[in-house]
Amino acid sequence: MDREFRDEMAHHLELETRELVQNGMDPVEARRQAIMAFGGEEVYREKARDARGTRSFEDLIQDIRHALRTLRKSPLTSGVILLVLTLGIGASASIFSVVDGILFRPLPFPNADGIVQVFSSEPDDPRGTFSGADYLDIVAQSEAFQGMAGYQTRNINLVQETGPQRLRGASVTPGFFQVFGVQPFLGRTLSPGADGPGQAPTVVLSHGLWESAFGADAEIVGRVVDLNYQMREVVGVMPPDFDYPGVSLWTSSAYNVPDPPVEGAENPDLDRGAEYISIIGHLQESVSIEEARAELSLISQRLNEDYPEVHEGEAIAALPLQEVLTESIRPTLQLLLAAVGILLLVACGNVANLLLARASGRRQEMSLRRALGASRWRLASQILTESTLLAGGGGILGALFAVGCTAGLMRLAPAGIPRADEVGVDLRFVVFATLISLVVGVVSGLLPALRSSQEDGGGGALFSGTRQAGARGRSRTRRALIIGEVAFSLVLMVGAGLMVRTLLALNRVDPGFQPEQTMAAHLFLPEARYESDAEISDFARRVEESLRDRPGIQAAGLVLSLPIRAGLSGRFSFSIEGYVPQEGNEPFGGYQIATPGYFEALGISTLRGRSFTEADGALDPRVVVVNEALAEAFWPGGDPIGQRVTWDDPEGEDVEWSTIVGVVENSLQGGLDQDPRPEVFRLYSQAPISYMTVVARGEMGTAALAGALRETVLEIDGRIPLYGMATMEELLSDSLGQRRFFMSLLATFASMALVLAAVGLYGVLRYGVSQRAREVGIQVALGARAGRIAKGVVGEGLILTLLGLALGLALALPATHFMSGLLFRIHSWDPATYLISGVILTLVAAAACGPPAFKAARTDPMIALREE
Amino acid sequence: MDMLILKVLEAEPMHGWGITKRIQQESEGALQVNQGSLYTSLLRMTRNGWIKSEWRLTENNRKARYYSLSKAGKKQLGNEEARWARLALGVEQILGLGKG
Repeated sequence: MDREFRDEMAHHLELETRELVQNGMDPVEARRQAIMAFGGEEVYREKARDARGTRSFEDLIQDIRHALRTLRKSPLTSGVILLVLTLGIGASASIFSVVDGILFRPLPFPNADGIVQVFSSEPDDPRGTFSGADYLDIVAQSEAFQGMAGYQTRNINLVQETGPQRLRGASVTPGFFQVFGVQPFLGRTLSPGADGPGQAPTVVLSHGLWESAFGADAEIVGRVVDLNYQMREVVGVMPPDFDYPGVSLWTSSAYNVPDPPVEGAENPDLDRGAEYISIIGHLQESVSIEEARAELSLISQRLNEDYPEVHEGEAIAALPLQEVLTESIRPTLQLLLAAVGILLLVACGNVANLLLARASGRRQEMSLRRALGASRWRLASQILTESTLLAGGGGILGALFAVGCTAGLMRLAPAGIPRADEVGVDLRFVVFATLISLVVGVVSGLLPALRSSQEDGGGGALFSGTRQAGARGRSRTRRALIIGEVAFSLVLMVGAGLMVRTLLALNRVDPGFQPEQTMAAHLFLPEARYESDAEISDFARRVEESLRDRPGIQAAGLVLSLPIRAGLSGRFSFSIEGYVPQEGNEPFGGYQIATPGYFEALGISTLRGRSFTEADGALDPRVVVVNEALAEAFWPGGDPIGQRVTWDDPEGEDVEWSTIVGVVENSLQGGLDQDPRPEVFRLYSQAPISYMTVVARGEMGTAALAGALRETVLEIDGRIPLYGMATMEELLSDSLGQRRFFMSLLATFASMALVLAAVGLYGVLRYGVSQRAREVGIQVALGARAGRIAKGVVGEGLILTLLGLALGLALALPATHFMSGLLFRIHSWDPATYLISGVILTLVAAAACGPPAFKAARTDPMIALREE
Repeated sequence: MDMLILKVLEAEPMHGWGITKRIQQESEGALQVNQGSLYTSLLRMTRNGWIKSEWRLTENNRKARYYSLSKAGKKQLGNEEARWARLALGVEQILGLGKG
């Protein structure tokens, strides 16, 4: 190619020279003149190469340098674009990583895909457990699973020379570990041959427990440890990542099913009444979960037919384990993903806007360069370079920001978030988001530049006429983007506002007790040491008395299950003397056990009658106290005092009746957003259970209170540890943890979106002002007052804002509907929240209009007109 | 520049130097052609498909590259001429305003 070109040049030169000679010039001089007229072959060869479109590395470097120079020339715009990209990419990447880590990433077990949890499902208990006999039947009859196991979690006391320690453990069937496919770190896992009924009790430790309680002793396998007063041999240690279902150790069972939680009764292998077993299974390779569900439903029908008394209306449900673990937090996270998507959109919109504005301003430069011979490709590639630099910079900064953001998020996250330790910044998303920004940057920078360079190849754009026409079309896109940004900001703000008001409302709820200066801790008495009822109730009495006698303690008592924290107390049906319930309307009540000092310790007031006293220590007469909700439910408008209830069969023999002696105020169970639950309180001295929560009230400060509780219990029995120590205030605050986390996130997003929208609005208006400087200059010259002009600009900005608000309203209403589950005592369409959000947005927008309006008002007509 | 070249080629195919000379002649010296721009234009328009080129023998039996107008080029010339006319009108009006 080059040679042909050179030939052509040579020919041209020759003709030029000949003409000059013909005109009388000296041949040598003529040749020199001809060459000079050309200006040097090399330059043209390069230009020719250029026009042909071959790019070389030096060109690229030059492009980058030129791009950097251009970016640096408008530092504010470039800086803002970079900031916007960083925030947008960083925040989105961070949230996405969190959500991905928790919801989407597969569980860290080899068999992760096929692990399914099986539940017994009733209308009011969709995630129920199974009885021993049912478990064995299901395992025997099911062929959809290649492995199935049962487990039951319980509290286990580990006693060592250093003292007692309460742990969370699980009693499992021998095939448990095979379901997950996880190999042991040391020793072996349980196996059917070695750890079934009739064999020595064994235990497998978790990695964490092995380190903390046994100092990572390499000789641990084979040692015998004291668990719940029973000696067990350690046969293995699991690897660091495994602790399903959230326990420190796994014990073998004396039966074919996991050990029942309460000793005694019959052989659990044969018992169909006590339901306590959770089932987990590993699907066969070729079986889908729907097929497994179908099979389980058949088995369930068979059980219902064979044993109608225990299986009336029960079904069997199966869910992939991954879904089960993330169920509670899934809706929150999905909402978060949506919010993040919105934020990214707003950020991209902003970037597009800023770039469009800038490209618009460079149309003149572009047209000039085109007229001087630059190719479209060259111009395009330059814009591409600029966009790439910006997007790349934003991506890198965004990635750094994301790492920090994720770390911060996880630290803020409430304790209960599942799989929190598996979250890490996902580079895939950073790359993805960077690509999006790149596309946005290229498109919004390139389009107008290309369009202008195409139509104004001659000299058209050099005149202001065409500039106006084109600018209007471009600014329509910009305005549309701003309206969109304002709309999305409104959506996020409304969301945040609703969450704030929800939290405020929750804080105002009266929990039904006095949480200040009160501390509580749990304990349980292993059956091996505390077998009889008398021993248990004696323990409870002694704890309460010793605590009360301590200096500084104002009140103390014990209870089965604390308010707010969803505890162990279940709902049991009971019978009221003289009252024959209709079908399906049997009295139901939360079953609570307490000591006389409990109500005073928590500050629960007695409304009618009396609460427990010392005198109620004996077995007879049996007394109970009910709460207001229960009184209202079964004696509406009447008086329950003096009525008698029983948990035995009222028609049977030896019925034990208890008399209601008082009504206490409701204390909320389960959470501040729950309705008060009807509850019946029995006495530990009359219906003891080996699980207790100790409550003490005193002015001595948290540490001292905790110390007092611990010492008291240790004095009575040195082998019973207290656990779950917390002040009641902490409990209350924790229960709001998840909501508060979500609120903080939403509020952060909303603020970011607000800032972005304001910046965008400012950019658009300011740009418009500088574009129309000439118009404004004429107006000023013709006598328009500064105020009018400023008002014009502000008016323009406000129109955009209002349009955005309108759109935002339309979007927010359906969007916040999805949040309803998280809200409390406030509608998703709460007008006050919308109003306040709208006002804030408008004020911020007005502020953003300020500087451009000011600039417009101060336009000096002389300068403006001359600039043309 | 593009337009001028196309116009010249509308009459007859020509090589680069010839185009230069013709433009200078027709404009009576008002337009001086920069050789570099000329060849850049020629190359660009060839890539756009507006002109074609082929090597021929000149009267002096030298090899030279001749450019001619393609159909697309003819259309482009028409467009450019129309736009130029509009532009000239606009300029005239403004200048006319200034004087009046």
